[in-house]
Amino acid sequence: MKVVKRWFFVWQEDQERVFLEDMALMGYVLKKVGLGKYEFEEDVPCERIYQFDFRGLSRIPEEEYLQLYADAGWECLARFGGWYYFSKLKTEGEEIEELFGDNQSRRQKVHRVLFFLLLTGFPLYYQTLIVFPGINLVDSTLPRFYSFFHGVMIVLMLLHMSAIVLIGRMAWRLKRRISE
Amino acid sequence: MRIERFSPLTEATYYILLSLLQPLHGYGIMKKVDSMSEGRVKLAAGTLYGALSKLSQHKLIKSVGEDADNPKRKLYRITEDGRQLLRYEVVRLGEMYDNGLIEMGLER
Repeated sequence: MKVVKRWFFVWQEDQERVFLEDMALMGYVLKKVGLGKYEFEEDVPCERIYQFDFRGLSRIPEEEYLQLYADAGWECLARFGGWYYFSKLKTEGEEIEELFGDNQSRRQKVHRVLFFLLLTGFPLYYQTLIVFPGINLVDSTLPRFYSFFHGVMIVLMLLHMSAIVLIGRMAWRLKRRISE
Repeated sequence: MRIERFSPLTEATYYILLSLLQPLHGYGIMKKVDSMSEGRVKLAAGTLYGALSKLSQHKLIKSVGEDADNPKRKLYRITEDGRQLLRYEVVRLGEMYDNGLIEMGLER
C-alpha cells in the first residue's frame, strides 16, 4: 500500500485525473480517497482511465447507479464527499473512454456540483460574515481560539467562492457550446 | 402539461425513449441503442444515468420492476406522456428530414 498526500480542488478535475493515471502507469491503483490523501494498492503498471462523477441528489438508489456503471465497464474504486472515482483499463478498440458522451450531460453534472456548492455556501457564509464578527472577543474566554477559527473560515470561504466562480464558468461555457 | 417543452430531445435522450417502448434496464438500453443505430450511437454511462434520472423525474418513463437475474438492474418503460413526446418528436424530425430532401434535391 502507498499513501500519497496531494491536494486537488474541485475545479482541478483534469489535474487529478492525470495524477491518478500516472500513478497507474507506475503500478499503483487507487484504493481510497481522503482529505488531501490518496491510498493506492500495488499492481502491474498499466494504462488506466479515470473519470469522476458527482451524483448529487437522485431518486435512483446508489446500488442501481453503481450497477449501471459497472455494466458499462466502469469500476467504482473510491468515494469521497459525494464524488465517485470510476476507472477502467484502457483497451484498444472503440471502448467509450468518457463517462459523458455529450455536452448536455456534462453540463448536468456541473450543475449538480454547483447546486451542492450553493447549498453548502449559505451556512458557511452566514457563519463567517455574520455569526463570527458578532462574537465579543474581549469578554470571551477563548479569544485566540476564536480568531484562529475565524481565520480558517475566511480561507474556506474564499476557496468556496473560487469554486463557485470557476465551476460556474465551466457551466456557462458548456451552455454556450450547446447553443452553438 | 405541454409536452413540447421537452423538445428538441438530444440524440441520446431520443434513443433512450425509443428503446423504452419495451421494458429494459440500463445495460439493455445501451445494447438496444447500439444495435438500432448500427453502432453509431454509443451511450456513455453517465449520459444514460443522467437521462434516466431526468426522464423519471418528469414522469416520461417509469420503473417497472427489476431484472430476474440481478435485482440491482431496474427495468424502465416509457409512460403515456413519454409516448406523446416521442410522437411529437418523430413528426418534427420527419418534417426536418422531408424538407432536407426537397431543398437539397435528394432522393429518398
